[in-house]
Amino acid sequence: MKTRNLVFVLLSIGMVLLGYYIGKGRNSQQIVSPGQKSGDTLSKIKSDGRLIVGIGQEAAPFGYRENNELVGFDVDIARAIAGRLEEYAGRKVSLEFKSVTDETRIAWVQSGEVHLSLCHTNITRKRLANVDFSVPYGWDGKGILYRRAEGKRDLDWFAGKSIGIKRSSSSEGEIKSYFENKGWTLPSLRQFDNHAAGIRALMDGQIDGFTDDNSIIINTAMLAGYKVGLAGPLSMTDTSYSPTFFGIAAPQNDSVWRDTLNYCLHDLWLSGDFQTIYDKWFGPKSMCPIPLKDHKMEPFVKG
Amino acid sequence: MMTLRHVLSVLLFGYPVPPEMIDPHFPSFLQRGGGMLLTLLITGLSMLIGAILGTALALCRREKTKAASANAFDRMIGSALYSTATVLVEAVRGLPIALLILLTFHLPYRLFHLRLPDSVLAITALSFYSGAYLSEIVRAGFRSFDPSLHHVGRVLGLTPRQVLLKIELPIICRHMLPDLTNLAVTVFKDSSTLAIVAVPELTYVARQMVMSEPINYGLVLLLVLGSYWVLATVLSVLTTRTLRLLVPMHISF
Repeated sequence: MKTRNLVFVLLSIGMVLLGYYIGKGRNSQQIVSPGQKSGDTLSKIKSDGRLIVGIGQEAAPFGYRENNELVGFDVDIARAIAGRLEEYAGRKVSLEFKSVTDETRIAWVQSGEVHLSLCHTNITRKRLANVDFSVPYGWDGKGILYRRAEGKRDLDWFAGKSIGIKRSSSSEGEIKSYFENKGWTLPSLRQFDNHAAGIRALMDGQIDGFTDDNSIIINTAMLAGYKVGLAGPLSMTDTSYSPTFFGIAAPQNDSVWRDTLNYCLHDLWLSGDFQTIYDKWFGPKSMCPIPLKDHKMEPFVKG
Repeated sequence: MMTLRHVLSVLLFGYPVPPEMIDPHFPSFLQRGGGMLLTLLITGLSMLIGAILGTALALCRREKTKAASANAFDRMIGSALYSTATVLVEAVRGLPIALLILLTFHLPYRLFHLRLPDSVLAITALSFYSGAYLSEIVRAGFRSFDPSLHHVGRVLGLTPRQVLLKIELPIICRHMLPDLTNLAVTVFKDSSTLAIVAVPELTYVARQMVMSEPINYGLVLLLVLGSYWVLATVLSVLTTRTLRLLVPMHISF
């Protein structure tokens, strides 16, 4: 009986210690993740040639299924970066995808499970507290989608109305602070598991508006068969309450790796490959054109 | 352009997995599938592993384990096994399944820098889950066993191990059948929680589908609900039937 109690106590202490060990890396500024010095993602890739990319699969046009195949802007960018990376790693790099969701895209970069995360992630200061971001590789804004038949709406109309947002997206904080700054009544926010569910709820009249990154909302609505704009049942507000910059999430305090990712993006821009990929997903023929001339990547000078 | 056949085939087999997602170090049949097929694969394998784990845990937690032997060293080993098994079972039973899954997906890399495919991690998480619950079922089974049968076996010249394998386990297996079926159905349905870590099982595939294809959101939910319901019913019937076949019929009292 006594031995049993002793073992119980020891096991409990062991579990607490385990918990401490796991939690330790998160609080300390110096330790990126246990057993790793900061700045060694690139050297790890140099030694084993594996690039692990966290990829989102649930948001058009960034990562979704077309004719059953996984396609999207993020997918193409990931493949292009893996190609460019060979020059910096000095060896052949094999690209491996790990599927991430909006809940895990930041956490798995933090833990080192993935080397970078390409999952239509907005660069926000809150997220920068946990991970680093590359320079923006995508640009967008956040407006509110509404039912067109009930008349033209602008942002101020939504004061005090109910608005749907996507779970784990940054729009919650952004819409609140925008409405607060304007002195409007805060809308009541309802979270949805995915964009399709939110758009369905909007069509059914459960909510007055739905918001997230314009390109994702418009693409999802179009794919679901609801036209956005003059010819369809839905429309998007002309103004947006927040600009959006999409960035590649990379581990915190690993400047060598983040620089390398930036160089890869810049190389793609200078070679014109980036523009080709961008044109495929956001060009004039795409569902939600975002002209590249309004935004620009500024490549660092070589040499 | 969007046929029901296409929808059903995607729900059944999932979307094709891009080549970059397949880890060559692990068997590809675990990584290629998706949809209902993967749900069934994960449920089946984790019930199988859970059965072994659960029986082992239940054996560790038997009253006999900690008191039977006269040898002090054996008693100590018995106590240690008892406590370890108890802590493990209580820890897993006290965790919500979503947290258990998040932990299983986080810890192997955090602690050992081990990269495993999603399906392997999913099976690990659900094996622990089913193992913990199964050990309680097996323990209840042991309790229901008539101790006089044990003496009968011993008198007939069987060793304690033979009594366990040839008399005790077959008899309690039959007692546990309803509970086992119940657990199999629970694990089958709870596997939908794996969608939070993007394992391409049925629920996640449905989520991907509503985001990518011109299909009514409600219809997909209805189809998924229907698939789970039909399969859960079939599963509960099949489990009962198969286990009845496996367990010898001539043992009854």
